[in-house]
Amino acid sequence: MSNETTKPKEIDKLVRTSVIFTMAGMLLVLLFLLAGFQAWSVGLGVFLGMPVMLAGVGLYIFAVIRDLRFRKVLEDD
Amino acid sequence: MKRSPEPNSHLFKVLAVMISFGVLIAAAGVYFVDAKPESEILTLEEIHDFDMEMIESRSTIYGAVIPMYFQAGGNISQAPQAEKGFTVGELMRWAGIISITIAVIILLMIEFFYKKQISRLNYRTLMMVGMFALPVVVVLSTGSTVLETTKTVESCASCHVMDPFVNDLFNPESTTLAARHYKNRWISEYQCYTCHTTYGAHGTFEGKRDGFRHWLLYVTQTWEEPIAFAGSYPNQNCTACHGGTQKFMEVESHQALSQKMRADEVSCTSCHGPAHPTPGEREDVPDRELFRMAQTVTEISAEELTNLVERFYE
Repeated sequence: MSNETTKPKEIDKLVRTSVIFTMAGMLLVLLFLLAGFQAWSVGLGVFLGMPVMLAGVGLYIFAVIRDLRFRKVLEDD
Repeated sequence: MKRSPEPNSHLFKVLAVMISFGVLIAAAGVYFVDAKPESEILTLEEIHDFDMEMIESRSTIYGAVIPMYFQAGGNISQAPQAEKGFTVGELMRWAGIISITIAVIILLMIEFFYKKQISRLNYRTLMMVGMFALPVVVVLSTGSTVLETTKTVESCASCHVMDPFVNDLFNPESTTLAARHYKNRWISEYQCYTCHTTYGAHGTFEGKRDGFRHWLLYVTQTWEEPIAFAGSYPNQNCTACHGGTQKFMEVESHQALSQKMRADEVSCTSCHGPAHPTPGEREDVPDRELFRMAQTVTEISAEELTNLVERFYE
């Protein structure tokens, strides 16, 4: 019982973390798109913001795959 | 007990209103973006030390308006001050801004405020939109914006170490290749990028690597003075425009040196002069550094050139 309720909580935490990462990355990229090409905006927006955003998306994919495995959707019958 | 999903129409109404409002604001901004008063625009003239009274200078920096200049009958006062119209680059940039706004709103709403009030289906659908579809648009938009903006002279001039080189473009007394190409409109727009096509976002891996390294040196204030071009400048950057033309082919030394030029053993600048102000001509270079400057171009002596021409026509 506890294992069945723990897994969804873990996955919910993963999803929430991925959402936070993605939002943070997007806001940094927004800085670059609004401020234009400057040394600081390229650094924050492109070199920091894009990897953070992509890390969030990657984490979300990982959470989805874990959830599908937990629900035994990806197993062969 | 099976619980039937109940879509939360209130959430979707709120989202629809906010998204529509945001799109309306963005659309209004697009159409009024050029209507900004000139006094509020921070032009390069206010940052760099060159004469921006010439409208051609402003128009060249911000984009190509040469056709519009000629349409105005060569009247300088009627030449537009900046490129008008909505380019694909601008469209992609605004698509990215709108996508980020919408994605942040959606993710905030469904993850932090309405998570328990909406059905699982709606939650997953909106997560797909906010975590997949819109980030894809953001990635495409950012890539497009980087590729577009790194073409402009303004982007090169955003780093103040480039001031001597950008200022030289607009110096009417300068005889460097860059200044002559600009003054005679041999390159109508994106002057830096047109010659340095192998550098930076558009260039080779070496160019991208050098561009990142230059950015890192600039933001950490650790670059070495005087600035010298240490990368490679293939003659192809010159011959892309000049090579194969009748004037180019008529020059005997071009024929004699063709193999060396193709192999980049001899640089075009060795005969045609420096592309940019030499360290000796730049005020930012201390005299003591002039003696320590390494040669960055391959030069050929007049005697060797004469011998090559004679051998070629034997």
